Amino acid sequence: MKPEQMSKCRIVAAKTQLSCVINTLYDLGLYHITPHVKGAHGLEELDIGAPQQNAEELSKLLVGIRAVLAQFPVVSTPKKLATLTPEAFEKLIRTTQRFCSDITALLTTKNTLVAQRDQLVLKKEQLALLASFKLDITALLSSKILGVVVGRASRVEEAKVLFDTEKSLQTQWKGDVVAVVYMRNQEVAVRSLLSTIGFSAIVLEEFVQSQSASPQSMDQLLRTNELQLKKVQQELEIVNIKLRKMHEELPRLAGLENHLVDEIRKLELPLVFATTQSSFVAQGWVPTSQEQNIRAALTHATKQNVHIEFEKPDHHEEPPVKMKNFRLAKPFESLLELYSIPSYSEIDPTFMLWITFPFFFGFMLGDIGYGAVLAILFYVLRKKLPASAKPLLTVLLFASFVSIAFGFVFGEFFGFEHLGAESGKALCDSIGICFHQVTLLEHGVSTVVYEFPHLLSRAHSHVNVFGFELLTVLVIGAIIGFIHLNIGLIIGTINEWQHHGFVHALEAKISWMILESGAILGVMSTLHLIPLHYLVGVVVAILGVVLLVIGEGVQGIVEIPAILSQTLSYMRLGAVGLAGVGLAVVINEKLALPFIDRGGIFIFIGIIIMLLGHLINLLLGVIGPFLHGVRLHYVEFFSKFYRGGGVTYEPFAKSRQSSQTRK
Amino acid sequence: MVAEQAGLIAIGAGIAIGVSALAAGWAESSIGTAAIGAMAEKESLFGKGLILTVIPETLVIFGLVVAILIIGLAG
Repeated sequence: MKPEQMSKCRIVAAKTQLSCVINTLYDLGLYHITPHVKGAHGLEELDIGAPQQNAEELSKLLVGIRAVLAQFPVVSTPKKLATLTPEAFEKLIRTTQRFCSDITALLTTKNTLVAQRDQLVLKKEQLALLASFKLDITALLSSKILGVVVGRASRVEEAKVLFDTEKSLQTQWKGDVVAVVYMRNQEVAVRSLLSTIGFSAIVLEEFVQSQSASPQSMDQLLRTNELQLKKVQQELEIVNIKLRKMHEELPRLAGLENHLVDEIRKLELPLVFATTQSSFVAQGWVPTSQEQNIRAALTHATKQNVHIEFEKPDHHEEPPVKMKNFRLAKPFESLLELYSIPSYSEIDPTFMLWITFPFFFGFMLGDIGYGAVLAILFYVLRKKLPASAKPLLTVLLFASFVSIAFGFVFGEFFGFEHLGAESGKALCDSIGICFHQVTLLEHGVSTVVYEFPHLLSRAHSHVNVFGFELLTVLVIGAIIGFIHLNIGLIIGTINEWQHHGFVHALEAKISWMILESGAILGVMSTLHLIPLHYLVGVVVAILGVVLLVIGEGVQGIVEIPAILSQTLSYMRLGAVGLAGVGLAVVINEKLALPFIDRGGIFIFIGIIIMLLGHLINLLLGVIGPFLHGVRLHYVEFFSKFYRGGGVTYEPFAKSRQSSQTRK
Repeated sequence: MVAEQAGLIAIGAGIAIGVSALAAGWAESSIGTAAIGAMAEKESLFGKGLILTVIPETLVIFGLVVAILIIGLAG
């Protein structure tokens, strides 16, 4: 019921043993390191260590590798690196450095070539366009008297009308592209005219001047362009082939990335150690059960050149928390992680959650059909989703099984509590499953139905409490709440007893139970259920209050009404379920059945309404019971004993991070 | 006359659940806003945010219980 016991572990060795110790700790994966703070108690004088020699170089390489991998968005599965000798690793680092710079250079070349190619293709299109005009554009451009502009007009119709009126201009159209030949002395007028028709020019000078001093014909220009384009494309092809070959190396590169991340963590680990000129001190926590393993592994690796000491944690210390639960309850730790993990010295309530959470969930959902659908859904999701979601889905899978069980208790199947007269009879005659036959009387109309067997009908079963007719499930909810809260108080008592002694436990926790018993005694004697004077109960209750005030002060008095409202809060166990049943009944009987009764095409509509309705109800049926189930634990139950705020036990070990998760 | 009484009872139950649902929604809206804000800063607060957001849900539960009681009282 308590977290795994921890021991403080201090390792002292010469700096020559540094990498040896670090590698051993890494392989063991058990050492939760407490970073050294200069001036910390006991080791005031010592400085923090410096990273080992290769750290900077490897960090640079890692940055390089990540830059390369970022260029290839298709994530390649990282290939696991074989174990390497230091020399082989050194060699791998060199080749990788070269590989990274090569591939970066190739990528740059590729980008330049692509840009060149695009430009040439554009130029080719434009040249082809110019060639299609019956004009010697190269000659016109070098002319002193005539000028020419070519470009796209956005308002073609308008432009055509305009050019028709301007007799001094020669125009030729190809689609929305126009070539305008004009007298050089009219240049300004032409430009302003062109600006009115939304004209965007193709820069002609570029084509002619870029070639050679002597003006060339259109054909020549096209031919040179073609040649250049072919050359660029060939170069690009070569680069692509090279890149494709390098692409095969990427999984190994990704594997190396993962390896490097861990390698760098190892090299930088001295940053959290305390060091002197020639020795170092590491401090951390290990599970007490592993002490011997750690001692053996370290002495073996360093050939006994190490000093190790283990210590029990002091009262004021907060060792990291590693929850210890048996296999079935383990997934329920995720519910605690969602809130706050227990502190080292208190009781780990995972075991309680394992019992009560599925019970609450099942009690609220309680339907064979819904439970079965959810069980299948969570089972499939558990297979499909990443490992991090697995514990929570296991919890929910568990809960859906309990829902099915409660479905049998309540006799509910997708909100139906009974079969119609005909289908019930048919089932009885054909398969031999005969349900109990009852006659329902509703709004003066009696119908014969076949009821599913059940222990308790949620929607109809009532009990009489002090003269009030109450739904049984609500009352059961409150009773469960009373029990649950008192279990919380008992756990709280154990916690307080262990930390602050019996007297404090009596004042802070047991006082609540005394108060409760006083109240119960009082009520029962008033109702003449027990032969006592009601003052006995009052005296007991006052005793509880007095103890409470001593233990928790005025705050205790303020919280007295809370115990009542918290118990009543457990009525939600029944109420959430009733809301679900209500919705299901509305879907089945008020929405779908009227359609189905009409027959023909309406049956189809009825089925669609049922499918949609139950889908919505199922969705609410997951969210509601989950949130309320969790909340009853966090708010009501935990307030009786739980403090939380533990530090997660995170030993220095192989990191789980991998390129697979990188997107 | 009987129908009239039944109608008034139904209205009473409706008010009980309706108003408490409105109140819960109102309370949850501001808590939810704050919770989302906190989550934007620190994603690990999701669990706590979720729980804090559904705390006023108790109002509706009590509303529902009261509504059921009203209907029950009327027989």
